[in-house]
Amino acid sequence: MFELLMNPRFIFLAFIWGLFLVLFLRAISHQRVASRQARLIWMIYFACCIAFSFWGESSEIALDQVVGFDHVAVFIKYSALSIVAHLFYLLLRDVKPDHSLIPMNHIVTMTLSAGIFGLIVANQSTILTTEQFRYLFIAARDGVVTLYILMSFIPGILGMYRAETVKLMRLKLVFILLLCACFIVTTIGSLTAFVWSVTGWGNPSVPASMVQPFVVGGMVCFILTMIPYRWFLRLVHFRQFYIYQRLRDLEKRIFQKIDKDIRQTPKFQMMQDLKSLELQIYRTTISILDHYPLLLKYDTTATLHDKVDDCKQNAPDYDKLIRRLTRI
Amino acid sequence: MGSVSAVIEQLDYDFSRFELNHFLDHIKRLRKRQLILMPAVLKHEIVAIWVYSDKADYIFFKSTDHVIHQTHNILHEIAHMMLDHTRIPLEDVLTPELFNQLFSGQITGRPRRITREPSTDIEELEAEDFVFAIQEQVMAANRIDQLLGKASSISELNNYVEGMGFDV
Repeated sequence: MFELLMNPRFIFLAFIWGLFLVLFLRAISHQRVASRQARLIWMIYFACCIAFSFWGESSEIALDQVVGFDHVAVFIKYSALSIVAHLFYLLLRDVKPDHSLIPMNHIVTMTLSAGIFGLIVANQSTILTTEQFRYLFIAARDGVVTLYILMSFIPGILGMYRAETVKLMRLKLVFILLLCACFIVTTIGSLTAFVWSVTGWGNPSVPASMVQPFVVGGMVCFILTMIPYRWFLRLVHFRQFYIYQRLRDLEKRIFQKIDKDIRQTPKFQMMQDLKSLELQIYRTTISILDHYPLLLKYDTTATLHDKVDDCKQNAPDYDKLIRRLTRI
Repeated sequence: MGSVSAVIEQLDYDFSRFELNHFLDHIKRLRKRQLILMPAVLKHEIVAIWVYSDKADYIFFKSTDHVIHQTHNILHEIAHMMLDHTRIPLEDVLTPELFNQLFSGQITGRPRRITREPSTDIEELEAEDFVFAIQEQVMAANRIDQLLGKASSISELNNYVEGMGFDV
């Protein structure tokens, strides 16, 4: 039991399920799960968590032994990811109706029917070995999802990225694109593993294990898409506080050189409130722009004056100006 | 600061639409007076001046200043107007070229002057508070809203991400 609890894979899956449950309960408490769109998005995340739960051959074998039927775990992952792909396609179609390069409405029905047929054949037939059937299921599943990725997800997400103006949502769209890229690499590994298992050209577990870092990378991107904006905002807060401190240091240097008392600021409130911090950044920037010309009069070296002046001349907008000033 | 917030409230301005010219048009309508902005060469320690004349309000600002600084200084002068601050004689404040070109006789208004000595003029401090209060309103309406408010600018996508509670 202790070994299981210390297993990195178990810890990772426990974290994903824990995060899912916390966020789902949070959405319920804010009465956000009633709409059709909310149900669809939560089904996507739930099906993803199901698929991740049987990550790795040992988890598959454990479930198959419990139910006494081969390939059940692989079939569940196959079905869950196919459903996720279709539901995400529906979401994209709702947001951007003409995004898909080909019509994909019936692919999921065909995929699930083929999966059920494959599950029966895999347990009754000896055409392929158990291991070959496993690699076939994985390759078929990844192939179908990659078809969705290439024909629907990438064009749809790129279209949304171009239309999106909220920075944190754009960041989430980048995470989804990275997730898609990781999945495509994984598919190359799965297809190679299946071909090698049938032809005997090499050990199929080699390509399958080589793409494992991309599976983990994809899961990390998946987790990042789940995290609410306000949690990311803490990072923004720290970054802004760092910017403020750098500007404040520059302001102090200018005031020292012109021999003027530095103005006082309310520090504690700023740490808690992003809006106050943004305002203090603005105030400090204005104070720097107000006072640096006095350096020409009171600072004989004028080096600091020239540096600030260079920022002013070469940074036409506010964000660039602040970035350049923090580097002085 | 109490009077500053009251005056800003009386402006009845939608700060989510803030853009300097849009805001200045609003001020012109409120004051029912012409408002003329002019970049100019000003004395070293002066960054902007509001000049009150019978015909119009003039705001001169340094053409070499950064655009953010210019905006701040213009708003500072607007603050003096809207807060009905005392006007002082400006003959010695304007450069002779500028004065002779546009005015004759006695003119009054307010300069924004940056010196090494801390400002003790209450009206100057009040004008600065006015600008920061406006900046706060703009930030609240735009930047913070962008970070904290709507989860996505695409309304159809917003329905999905709100379903996840990303915006709360």
